[in-house]
Amino acid sequence: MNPSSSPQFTAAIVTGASRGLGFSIAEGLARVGTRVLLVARSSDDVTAAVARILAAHPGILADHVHGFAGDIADKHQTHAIAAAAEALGGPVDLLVHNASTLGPLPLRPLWDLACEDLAAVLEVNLIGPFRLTKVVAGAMALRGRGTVLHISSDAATSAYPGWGAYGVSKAAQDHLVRSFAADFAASGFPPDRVPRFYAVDPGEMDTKMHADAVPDADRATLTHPDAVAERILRWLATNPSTGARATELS
Amino acid sequence: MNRLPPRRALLGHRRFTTGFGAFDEGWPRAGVPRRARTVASSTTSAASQSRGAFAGDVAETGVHQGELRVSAGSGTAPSTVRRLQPALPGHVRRLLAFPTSTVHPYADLPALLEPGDLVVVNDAATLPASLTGQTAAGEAIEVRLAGRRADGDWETVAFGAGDWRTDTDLRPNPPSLRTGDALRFGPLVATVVAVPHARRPTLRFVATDDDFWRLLYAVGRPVQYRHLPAALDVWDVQTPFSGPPWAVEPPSAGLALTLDVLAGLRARGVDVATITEAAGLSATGDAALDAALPFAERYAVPAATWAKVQACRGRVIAVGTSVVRALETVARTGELAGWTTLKLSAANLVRVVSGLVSGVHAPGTSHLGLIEAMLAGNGLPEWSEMGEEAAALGLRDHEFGDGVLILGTPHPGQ
Ligand SMILES: NC(=O)c1ccc[n+]([C@@H]2O[C@H](COP(=O)([O-])OP(=O)(O)OC[C@H]3O[C@@H](n4cnc5c(N)ncnc54)[C@H](OP(=O)(O)O)[C@@H]3O)[C@@H](O)[C@H]2O)c1
Repeated sequence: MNPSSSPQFTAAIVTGASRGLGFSIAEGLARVGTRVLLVARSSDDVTAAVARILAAHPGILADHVHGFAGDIADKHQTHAIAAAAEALGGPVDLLVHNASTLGPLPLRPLWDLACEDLAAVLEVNLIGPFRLTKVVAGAMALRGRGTVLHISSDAATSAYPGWGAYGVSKAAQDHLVRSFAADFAASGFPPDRVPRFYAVDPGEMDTKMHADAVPDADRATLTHPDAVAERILRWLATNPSTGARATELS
Repeated sequence: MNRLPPRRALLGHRRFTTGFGAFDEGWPRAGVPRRARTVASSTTSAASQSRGAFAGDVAETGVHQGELRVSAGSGTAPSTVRRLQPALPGHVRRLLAFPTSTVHPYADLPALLEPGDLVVVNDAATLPASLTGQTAAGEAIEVRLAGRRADGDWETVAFGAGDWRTDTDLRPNPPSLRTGDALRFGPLVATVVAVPHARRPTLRFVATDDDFWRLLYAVGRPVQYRHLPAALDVWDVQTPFSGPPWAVEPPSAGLALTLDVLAGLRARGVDVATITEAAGLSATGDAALDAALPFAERYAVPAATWAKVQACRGRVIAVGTSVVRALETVARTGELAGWTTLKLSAANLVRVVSGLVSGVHAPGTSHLGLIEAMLAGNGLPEWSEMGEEAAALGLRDHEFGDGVLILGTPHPGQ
């Protein structure tokens, strides 16, 4: 981790970066010299997360880590997030879709979900990320460089009772990754220079989301998100082919 | 493999719906002069078939159906010919090509160019640059951001009460402002740091960098003019490749491009490169200030783009007048980034740009001097002749309108 060698990514947007895996990914990127915009809804939490990264790593320039208090599900904020990232740290060449919602807690069978609950989960986990990709990937395509990473889940591939809305959204997100990759592959842009799209299943991590979903879990069996973030960044450095989905990274 | 909709569906007469309501589109129109031919699509690549992967989804922008009023604009109307009419978001664009005087679907741009040509686009994102608020005394004010200075302060153009629905020339003056005054735009607050002209206060926003961008997009609206019947959303004014948020009005020629068209250019052997230029305000409501337009605009030409321009053996085709300004500035100063005050005219001709994709412009608009320079520099007829042809064809003007493609000859030794 040598900040003076040039980092793989110049500037990144990480959604859901005020805690959990998103925070760990943002911190891991900032440590190697990537400029990062941390996005989450709670303004206090975002500000605190930026301060935590800067306090823990005196070598990181204050101007390299910024926060945006916003909701990924809000269409009126999509351009604001992209603009803040470009203005404060651009050109953006990494977008990490990590923010996510489980839907109403405790988890419940699909028939006990309101129609609006499913729509709300899709807004955060699928449509919001689609909008932000749409806004960011065009510039990436013309610059000939860019990576879009979605944090997936094993609920995308297996159906678990009570996890229906979340699982549907994660499965759709995986397919969004493959579909963007397919569209760019067919686009006529040079295949080695189009934006790349990935999905990663991070495995079970000791985070608030896990505690929300499985309150009585044995935390000793859960991985720390720092370790998962490190594996994900190491995997990205291997330049996997676009459309790839990683699981059980070690 | 190829499950895209048949290309035919994109051509010819059809009815379509936007947030503004339903419109009929089609070409050619009655009254087309004989020398203008409509050329059917010849491109059949998958790239050019799948339109709109990144086009703004106007149906969701909340603009209301309204009656289309046609503004005479601030310029003088052409005396003998049909006046150009403004288009709305979602307009299916056409391209009038010169010197051939042919009309094409916009998506056929690649077929109109030759391998070896270079297309240069402006990748600036467009800010919601119109802010409505009050002075400390409670007087109404609208401020339009004109450009960000190197020190982070903003140059602006201010108006009194009202908004874009009123002709810019008829807007009242802003309340009189002094250095130190506070202006409040909802949650976004600014201090007046200089007043170089009664209508041009320089502002410093009272917010951290992180809060500033969030608040600007929360309270700002796109700058727009009276020719549109409903308010625009920030989604309506972005090109599909927008990056740095520098422009205060959309670099509108790029609004018509899709990533498919750009990919189609690459597939044809036409390279595509970017510059960033802070496309500025096109009207201030003040005759003396209008005469000075465009104001100094920030630009950046990547070294890679400039190298491509210099190595280009074909034509260098600018998408939009902002691209011409940036490239011609570098051609004159050698500076790849900075602020440009360059004004091109028939007396200050283009040196590196040999092709232009632009909107169709009514006489008297600020883009026209530059287009005249482009035409004269390439030995083409004056704009008035082309403008008449565009109007006779029923082409639409303004930011969502049809386009013109002006092709000159490569500049020797560029
Ligand atoms: N933990 C696991 O075991 C596990 C397993 C598989 C997959 N995952 C996936 O891993 C990713 C990270 O999860 P995590 O466990 O780290 O979750 P977490 O600790 O609960 O963190 C979620 C983050 O997202 C933010 N967020 C939530 N909704 C948002 C919205 N609408 N807009 C913007 N930000 C929003 C939260 O801040 P605010 O609340 O302030 O907005 C917070 O920063 C998620 O995609 C999750 O599905 C986790």
